[in-house]
Amino acid sequence: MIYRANHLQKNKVWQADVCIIGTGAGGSAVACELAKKNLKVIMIEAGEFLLPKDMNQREQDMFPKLFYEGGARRTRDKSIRVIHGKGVGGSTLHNINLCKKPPKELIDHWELPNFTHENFINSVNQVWEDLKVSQIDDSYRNTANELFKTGIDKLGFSGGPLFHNRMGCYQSGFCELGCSFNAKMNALRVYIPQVVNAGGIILSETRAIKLHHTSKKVTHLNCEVINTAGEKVSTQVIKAKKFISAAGAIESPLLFQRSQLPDPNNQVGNNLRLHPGVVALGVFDQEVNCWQGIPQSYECDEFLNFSKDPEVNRVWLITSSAHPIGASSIVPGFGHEHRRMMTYYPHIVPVTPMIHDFSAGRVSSSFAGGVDINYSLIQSDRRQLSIGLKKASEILLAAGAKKVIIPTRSPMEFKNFSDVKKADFTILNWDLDMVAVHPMGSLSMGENVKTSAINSNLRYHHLNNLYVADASVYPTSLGIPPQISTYSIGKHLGRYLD
Amino acid sequence: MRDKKSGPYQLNLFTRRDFILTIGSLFIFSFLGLRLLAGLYFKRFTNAHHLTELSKVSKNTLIALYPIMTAEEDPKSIKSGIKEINRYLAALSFRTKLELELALLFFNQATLLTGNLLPFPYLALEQKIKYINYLASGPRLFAPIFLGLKETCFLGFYSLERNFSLINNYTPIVSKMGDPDPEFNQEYQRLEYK
Repeated sequence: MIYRANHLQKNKVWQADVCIIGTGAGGSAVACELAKKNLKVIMIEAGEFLLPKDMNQREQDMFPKLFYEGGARRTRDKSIRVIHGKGVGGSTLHNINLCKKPPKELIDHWELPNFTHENFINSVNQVWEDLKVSQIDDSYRNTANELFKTGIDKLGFSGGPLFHNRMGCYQSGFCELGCSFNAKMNALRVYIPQVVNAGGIILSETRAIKLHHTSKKVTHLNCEVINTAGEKVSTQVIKAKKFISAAGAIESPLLFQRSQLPDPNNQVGNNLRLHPGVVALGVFDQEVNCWQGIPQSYECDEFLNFSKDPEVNRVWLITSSAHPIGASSIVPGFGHEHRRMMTYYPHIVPVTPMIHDFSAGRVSSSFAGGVDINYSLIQSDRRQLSIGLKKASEILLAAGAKKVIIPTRSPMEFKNFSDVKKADFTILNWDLDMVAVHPMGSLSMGENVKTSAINSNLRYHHLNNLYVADASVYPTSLGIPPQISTYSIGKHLGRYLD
Repeated sequence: MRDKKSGPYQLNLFTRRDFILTIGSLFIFSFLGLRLLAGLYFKRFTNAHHLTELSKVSKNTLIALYPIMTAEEDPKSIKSGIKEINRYLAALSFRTKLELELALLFFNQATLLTGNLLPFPYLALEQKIKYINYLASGPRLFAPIFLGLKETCFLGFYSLERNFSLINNYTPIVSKMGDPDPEFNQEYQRLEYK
């Protein structure tokens, strides 16, 4: 059963075999596996239990419901906005449903004895099947993606249609604000009902506050129920034999730090990767209406490699789209000039270069319940962003854009390839707004306790009954959308845990 | 001892100590504090009660900034936009609200940088625009402040559905109450504790 804050008015102590913190990709997949083994599972979710009818396609209403801090969280220097989701289903409620399997080359680089591509790929394939992943049909490709494909083809770059987990899609284009039509094959639709049907319990609007522990194991979890008005309703205590943190790469390390878990090598919160992205805007004569239809259906992977060498190209190019509030922050200027640019928005194709980042940051708590995300781009990552912007501009011009705008502080404009060739794409902090939607790696896997937080069986190094099953486990950036890999981490852990 | 994997060291302007130092220096080492108090005393704006999440000085600053940033002239629309900003602020943590507060305080007072002795709300329109342009394209350090305030203003502006008409063809498909079609909701409603 799924409980809301109004069902949890009284303080209560719960008993379970396994307590899972977070109901997103990793949490739901591991819960499903464990519930099938007849284990008593309790899941804790800070966000609300939202139904399709709650997804009203309005940014101002959905941002506070779907994202931590209403999507306003930023890195310490304010140069990168870090977006991560909440709600029963976690980030799978708002993600764009892109599915890619984790690259073998990357997993091989990790050199983990108990976590090889061979033993992980079974979980990946099972998730692929569970979510009914399919290639996005050509007939679903909107005008923005069609133009993007045209540009890629004309330049002879490597590209192709993307895969997604949608069924019965209305192509409304409001995926990032949650699906009103229940077309996403996400955690809420696929795994959560199986957990509940197998007797699992989910406490929504419930925030995990502290894991209490002895020197060897976690004994219980203290939670606070906070209703939608932000008022504390009650305290819930969960006693369990095993605890699994699946609250995501920002919230999981924060919980560990708040709980003062043993961390002699200061590894909790380290190694944060973000996949930062920027945007190039192609202005076309025709109306494109980039917000209509499936937002991302075609990719350019010509410049995406998974080598260990930071100087090898590692930037992924896709289209992006935004609704008015999001779009207005990308469009340069203010006042009447900004208003004039917004009237052009139907003619704009935004292309996002997203980097497979080698920069590593740190997450820690700040005063007054705040979060400190200390992350700065290293030089080679900045170079990759520059390459990405240059190639995005070329693709847009090849597709027929009459001009390309890079929305830097003093916007750059190109009308032909020679302008692009001459341009200096060097990106410094605050030159343009960067967005990161894939935080990962902040409780990274490894066998060396001095350089990692959990072992390759996904168990925390310093406590016997605490595991992690979310995007924080990756030792490096993934370089691809992490949803399939993260579901698979949960599935993988659920298979061997009993 | 810092781990090699962690990011380069940056000064944390949001620790308790640095926060107290910042606020202290604001009041002690300049006459900015006096101007803030004067701003409080000579309240000139009537929409301030819609911004319960911010201090009075910051409310006045935001109310003065909003119409210039969004090119909105209709007082009713300005009032509605400000209300939407306030509704959004309620969902943010104390720290984020404090950051916005500090950004607005800085914005209010940093008019000195462009040679204006008066705080932002009291400048003539032309001077206000000149000042905003300076923050938008002047020293790089000011960029996050400009960007944060711009995002805040447009959040209010595009929360109003009447402004969607500025973007040809843009319209949400479901009503503001969401789509109540039982087909999409029933399978989840039965999962809820009764």
